[in-house]
Amino acid sequence: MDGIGASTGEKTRLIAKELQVAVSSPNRTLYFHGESMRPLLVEGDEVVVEPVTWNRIRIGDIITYRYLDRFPTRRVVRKRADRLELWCDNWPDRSFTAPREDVLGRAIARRREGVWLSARGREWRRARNRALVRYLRLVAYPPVYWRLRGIAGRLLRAIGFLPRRRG
Amino acid sequence: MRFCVNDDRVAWRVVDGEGVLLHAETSAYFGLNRTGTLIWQQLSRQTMSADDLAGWIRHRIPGAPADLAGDLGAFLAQLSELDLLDQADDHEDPSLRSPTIEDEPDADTVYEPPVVMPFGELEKLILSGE
Repeated sequence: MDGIGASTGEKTRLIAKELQVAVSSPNRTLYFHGESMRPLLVEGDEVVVEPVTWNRIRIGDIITYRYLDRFPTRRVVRKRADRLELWCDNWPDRSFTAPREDVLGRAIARRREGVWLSARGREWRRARNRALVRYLRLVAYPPVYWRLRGIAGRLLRAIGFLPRRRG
Repeated sequence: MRFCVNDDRVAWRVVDGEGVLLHAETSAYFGLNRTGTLIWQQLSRQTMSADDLAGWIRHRIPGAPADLAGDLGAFLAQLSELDLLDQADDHEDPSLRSPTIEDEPDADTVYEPPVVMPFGELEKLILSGE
């Protein structure tokens, strides 16, 4: 900052907004906007994001990061030395990158219609697993996936678990 | 009377030598000028009285005026009124009355009266998932 006058008001405001992530808690939730993380997170969900160290970020985590004056919240699909590659559960055709220094925290809970869902809960973990499998199938390794699927199909047909193809 | 940062309710960060404070419960946020930020950082490390703090500032900023009572009193009162500082009576913990001055004097730091600037209140933060 060059001072605390009006000219730096926007920058101060942005830093203060980032601090809101740091103090997020069940009593001070953050508002999720959009449909990109449906069905786990939908418009209007209240989310708790906790600060997280780089070493504790895992594939499948949902992280919040700074991007200009916004705070995208997306799923980690790859972790590089200096950045995260991110994906949205409901936007299979787009991917994103978050530099390490821009990561603000990790989503750990969600409240919808008064009901809490924790990241440790079974529903959250199932959503994570489904999203990662979908990512692998659609984006990461489609040729390998389809080849393995073809091999498995032929094997199952050969041993009689699946009907043989006609023609 | 001694003062310390209200860690339970205030999140803060220093950027380019100037502090930004967020009161977690009211979502009000504030800016500090450079002298105010130095004082804030010191109070985040140590509980101090206004007199001890004045001595620390004169040590840390060689160009600071001899009489800091007015500037410091107004600054601490404003921070307290905004619920950004906690206060404790001197007799509660006598061991904290004589602070250790560890920082080296910095001749490059120019004294300016400490200021806290209220910027208003933030609405609930929106996580972008669009």
